[in-house]
Amino acid sequence: MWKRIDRYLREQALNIKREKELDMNRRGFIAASLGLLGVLFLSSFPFTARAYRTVKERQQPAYKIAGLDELQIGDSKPFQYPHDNEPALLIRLSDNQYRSYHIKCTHLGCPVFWDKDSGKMKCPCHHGFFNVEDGSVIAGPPQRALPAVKLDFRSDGIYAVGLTPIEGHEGV
Amino acid sequence: MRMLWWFFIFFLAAQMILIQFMAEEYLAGHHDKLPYYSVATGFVFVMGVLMYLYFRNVDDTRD
Repeated sequence: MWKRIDRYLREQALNIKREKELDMNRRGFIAASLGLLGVLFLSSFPFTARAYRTVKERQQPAYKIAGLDELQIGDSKPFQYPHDNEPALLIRLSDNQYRSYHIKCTHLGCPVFWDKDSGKMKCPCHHGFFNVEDGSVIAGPPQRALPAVKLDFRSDGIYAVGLTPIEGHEGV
Repeated sequence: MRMLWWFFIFFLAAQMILIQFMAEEYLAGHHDKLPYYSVATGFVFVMGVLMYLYFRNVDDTRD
């Protein structure tokens, strides 16, 4: 009786089981951590798949904005791309130089317009100014550049074929 | 094997840091950088396998 109690107490107090201890020696630990390295590697696959899916989604359909000689030099034409609630502007700077940007101001979303006289893009709400060459901010409260629309010149007109992503602006 | 133990502690730390960076890049929306992190974790894993095989050979030779 006392021996059994003594053995029970020893088992509880000195929880040493030599058989178990041999299972988890240094070699066992290393094998387990090798498995963990593999599991972490495999767990990075879904992220990679997500990266390639995003690239695929970004390919937008082509949209005809205007004919080749529809705009005079210095003129602009508004259009919606890629959806109806995303206004954009096509600007003709010279014979064969065109620029196109989304015109939602990156400050508070007012429509930016092309000011032919000053040669800048202006936001009338808070006096933000954008460079027409690359859409970058010249002055005013906006902090980020206007997203540019990629253009393609085909025999029957000028087409919008995609958007140029801007750092910190990927969702657009 | 004692030496290998330290190597593996290092590999585990490196792998976890890579995964953490990868999650941060994912949440920040920089999806184009994710494949590089995947390749890096694969590299650490392959190094781990090679290291394990090498040290096991060394151990067997000693025995």
